[in-house]
Amino acid sequence: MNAPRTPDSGVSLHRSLAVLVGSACAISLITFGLRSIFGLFTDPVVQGQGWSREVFALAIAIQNLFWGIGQPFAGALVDRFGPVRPLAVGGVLSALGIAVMAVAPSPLGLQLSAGALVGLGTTLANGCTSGHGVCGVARLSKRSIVATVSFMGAGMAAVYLVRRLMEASS
Amino acid sequence: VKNHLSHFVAGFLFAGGLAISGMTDPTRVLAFLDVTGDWDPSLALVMGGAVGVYAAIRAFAKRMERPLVAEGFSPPPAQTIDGRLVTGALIFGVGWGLAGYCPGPALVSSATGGSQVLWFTLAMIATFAVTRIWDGRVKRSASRTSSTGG
Repeated sequence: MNAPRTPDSGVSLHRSLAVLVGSACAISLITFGLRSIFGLFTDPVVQGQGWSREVFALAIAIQNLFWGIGQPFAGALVDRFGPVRPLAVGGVLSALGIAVMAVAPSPLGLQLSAGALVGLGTTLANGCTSGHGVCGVARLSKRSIVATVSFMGAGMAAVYLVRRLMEASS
Repeated sequence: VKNHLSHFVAGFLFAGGLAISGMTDPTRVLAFLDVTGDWDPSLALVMGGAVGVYAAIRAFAKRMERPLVAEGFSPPPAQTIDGRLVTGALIFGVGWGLAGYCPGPALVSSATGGSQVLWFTLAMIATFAVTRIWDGRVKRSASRTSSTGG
């Protein structure tokens, strides 16, 4: 009665195919829907925050770029740790990102994200304005001169972006 | 005890210098980075002055056999310029340009209890910790694979 069902028996192949296609559709629906539904909220966000279309379009463009850039790395993480943990972490990050977006123009979101960037950058580069900019440059360390030029340039670029482009267009 | 005291004096001097030179004020830092706008070059003078003082003291210290309060001089740091250094410096620069705080002034300004700088410092310290832990994991797994893989 309970004969083992093998994939090559007609009915179960049919059924497993249906389950497979159905599951794939459900996964795409849920994951992609999460992103696609965003379009519904963009107009209220633009109106609510008082941003210009250009500013919001730039933000969405950056988001799409990072989406693409992140894909191979996310895939590699899934290969290494299995799908559950990367999915869970991704979900948490996504929720955090949307939460930060909700408070983005407020000083809190800006300070939190800038603090995280400074923390990450300082650790990666093994120093910042004092370590590289003062002590390293005084020792004429090549490493420190490269780091100082890099962070000065990035800092000026960030200020230019925020003050000249975003504030001018909003 | 002598060591702790020297840490305290050095920290006191550093914090005092930052506060007096106005480097704990993010609007001045941002004004320095705003080269296309109303540029305020005073931070360059502060950094230039600090570089001069450090270079002079260092020339003097090089002729000493050992430091005044430590066991010995630290070995010279690495000289390789890699992607990690440049990426880190660029990321740091963006954060610096967004908020106008770098780690030292952020810590000093936290003493004022302002909520913005407290949030900044909190996020910064949390990221220090996370990056260190992540870094340790990557190094451990790298050494594991290299030892098993030969």
